[in-house]
Amino acid sequence: MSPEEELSLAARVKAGDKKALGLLWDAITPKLYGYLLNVLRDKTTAEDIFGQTWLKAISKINLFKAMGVRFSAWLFAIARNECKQQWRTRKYESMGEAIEDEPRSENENHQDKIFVKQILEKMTEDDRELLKLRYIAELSFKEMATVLNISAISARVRVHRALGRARSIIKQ
Amino acid sequence: MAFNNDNLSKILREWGEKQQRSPENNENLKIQAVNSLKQPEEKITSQRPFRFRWIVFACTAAVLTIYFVGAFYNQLPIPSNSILTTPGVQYPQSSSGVGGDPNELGVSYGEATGLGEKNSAFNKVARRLTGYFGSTPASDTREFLKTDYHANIKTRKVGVMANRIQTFVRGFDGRVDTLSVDSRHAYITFVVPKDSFENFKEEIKSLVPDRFISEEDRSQNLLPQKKSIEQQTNSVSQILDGLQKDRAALINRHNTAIISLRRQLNGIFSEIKKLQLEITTDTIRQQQINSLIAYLQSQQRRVNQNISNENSRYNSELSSLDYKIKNSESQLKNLAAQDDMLAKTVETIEGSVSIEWISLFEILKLYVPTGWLVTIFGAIILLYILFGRRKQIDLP
Repeated sequence: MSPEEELSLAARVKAGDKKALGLLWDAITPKLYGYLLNVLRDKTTAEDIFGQTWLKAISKINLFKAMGVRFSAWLFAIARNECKQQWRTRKYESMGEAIEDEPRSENENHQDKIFVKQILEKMTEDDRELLKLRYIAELSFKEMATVLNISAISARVRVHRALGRARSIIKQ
Repeated sequence: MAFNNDNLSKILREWGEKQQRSPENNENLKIQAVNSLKQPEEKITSQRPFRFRWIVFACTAAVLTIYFVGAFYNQLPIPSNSILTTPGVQYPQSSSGVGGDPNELGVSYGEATGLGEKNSAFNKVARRLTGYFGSTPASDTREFLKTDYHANIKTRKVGVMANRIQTFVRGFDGRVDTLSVDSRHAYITFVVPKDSFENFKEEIKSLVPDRFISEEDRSQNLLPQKKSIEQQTNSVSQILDGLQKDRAALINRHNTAIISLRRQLNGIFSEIKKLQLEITTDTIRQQQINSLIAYLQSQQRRVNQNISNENSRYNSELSSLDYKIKNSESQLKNLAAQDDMLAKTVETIEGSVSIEWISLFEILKLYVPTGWLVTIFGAIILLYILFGRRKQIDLP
């Protein structure tokens, strides 16, 4: 879904259009849930926070202002805040518990999946978050900057450096 | 396989896509979420909090700075030594009069007579007695314009600018008269030939943008002075002619008188000779002869005395006439020199350039007058009050 379509649906949701909300849900949910699952490493918690995120976003839809970012970026910012609150209240460690094995599909390159997992394990928490926002949530650098409260240039530089560190890990 | 950013990015992208999934009870959650969507209520416009206080503070500080700093600069005292009579930089002695070649700089401006200086007696008298010369008839349309030029330059490199101007003056066959330079001010007086004045002005103007230079040309018609010189010259010439005529007449008169007296003398001498040559035995006749000779000799003495008197008188009168003629000729020479000086004064431009150091703030004021600066900052404040944009997204 293009950013313009997303913003258009968000405007309709503000006006009370439930169908538009359903379309947004279908477009954003896979990324959002996938991101939360990767961050929280726990399906139950991820579902809880996923639900809380959407409910909060829907109840406060009037607070959303485009300002050059998509509705999904706003949603991810809410989700990230929820995760932080969760960690504060429950002192949850993101890498502490193993998640369930992901189902393997036939065409999947299993080696690449293991390779990425090994790289991520050796990276810092900040680098992991950057890569997840970039590649799971598919946010642009500007949207990442809004979510992380940094400048777009910083977001770009940080992602580039994270990839550089990943390459260094590979070489090692 | 060698990994680089491109295929690493591709792998991560594919991995990211694989991570995307929906929760198991996706449909239930979706229904719950959709049902929770409320119809929008009436908009209650709340007062947008003013978030950009720092912008307002910055603009207010800028406005206050403009006024206070501007007032401070306007009150700065002008250095008392900004105009000096002694040069601040040593230059080769200009050819001024004694022992020098007046044409060394390509211009001879009567330095030898001192008439070229601004404070010379000629200029002082000429300027004070402009009215004394009386009004010139309207029919006389001649112009003898004496032009003064002054420029005021603002720059951040006072010394460099002063050097450039001196170079220009000398390059245009001019002469630097006074020079005073310090870090913030410089003052240069000079003369340049009239025929190169326009080019000289163009060069001066090309040194800085138009906003940084102000110029003033003043011209004065020296026709009254010229007429006065001409009238005096005529008068003295007439007097000289008269004296020379008198001298010629004196010489003629003297020669005539001397010739006449010599003739008398010759006559007397002949008579005496004749009487002396007369031989007689007549004693009465001899006595007559002696008495005649005595008489003629007394006449001879008298005529000699007349000749002597005539010569004395002639020499005296001649000396007097010669003295008067010399005076008149001297006056004519002076008047010619004055006329020459006037011509040269008209042919030259006396000028001065004052150079002042300018601050960045004053440069800004030149391009954007204070009123406009305040307007711009005020507009910025107003725009941000009205349309202050949020930088961060509001999260519930």
